[in-house]
Amino acid sequence: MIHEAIDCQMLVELVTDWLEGELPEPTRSELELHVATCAGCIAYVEQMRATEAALQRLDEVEVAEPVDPTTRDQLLAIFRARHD
Amino acid sequence: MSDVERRVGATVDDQRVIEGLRGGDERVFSELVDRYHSSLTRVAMRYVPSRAIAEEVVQETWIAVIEGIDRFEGRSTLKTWLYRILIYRARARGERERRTVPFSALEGDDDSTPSVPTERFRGSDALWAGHWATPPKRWDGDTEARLLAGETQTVLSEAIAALPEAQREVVTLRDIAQFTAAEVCDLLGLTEANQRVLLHRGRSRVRMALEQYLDA
Repeated sequence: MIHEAIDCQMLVELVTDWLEGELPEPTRSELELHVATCAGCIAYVEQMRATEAALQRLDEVEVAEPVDPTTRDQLLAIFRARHD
Repeated sequence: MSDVERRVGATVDDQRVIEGLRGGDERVFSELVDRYHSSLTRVAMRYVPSRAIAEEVVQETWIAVIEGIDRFEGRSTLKTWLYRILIYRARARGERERRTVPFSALEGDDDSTPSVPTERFRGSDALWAGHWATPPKRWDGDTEARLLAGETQTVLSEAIAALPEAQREVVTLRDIAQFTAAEVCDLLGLTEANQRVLLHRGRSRVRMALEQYLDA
């Protein structure tokens, strides 16, 4: 058995640093070597990416409406009162 | 280089907005409200129990902006300043609403839970120690479609709500309000390394919740 610098259990703790482009060498190359040959870790990295994308979309689904006109009028009235 | 030195001050566009606000230009204020109101509401919702309370917090934030703009010194960007006011108020309001132990801001995140439970890996005396014993499944087209269809919204919202405070804050700002890492560090007074640790733990927990739901 080949001794690997990075195993799966280590990858799951380093993956964010890697995705953020903040993993220093030589760890980065070692991690990339591992991911290239490990189906489980390929799936894991994909899931982390999908999680990030789903979180970003969550926002759009939840409240993407324009500012409520009543709220806007209230705020503008406060702004105006301050500068009168 | 310290985080303080890396901070970015007010931008050229900020200068225009600041002058407009100070001078009472309604169009400038209106533009600012259009640009940030919805995003501020979304961030506030992660701190307080309801949409209605989040809206109150945002309203208070705008009032604080109107009243405080003369004292804004431009040492951070206007956006960062805006969210700093929001977060300060949303945290305080969230604490009051929950009536729980005061939350210890960001100094304490002693979460040492692994990103993936240890039992999913081969033990240290096994062949291929540290490799997957129960590897994650590929999320195929159907799974991706379920993620896209918004079926998983509730799972995501609950997973975020269940995160320790500091992790929830970083995940919300990075992934939901789409701030950059540097902005989040500036906003929350975190080092880059600390910010990444919190982001990592938060995202890892959310991934786990999604996996449990999607593979069930």
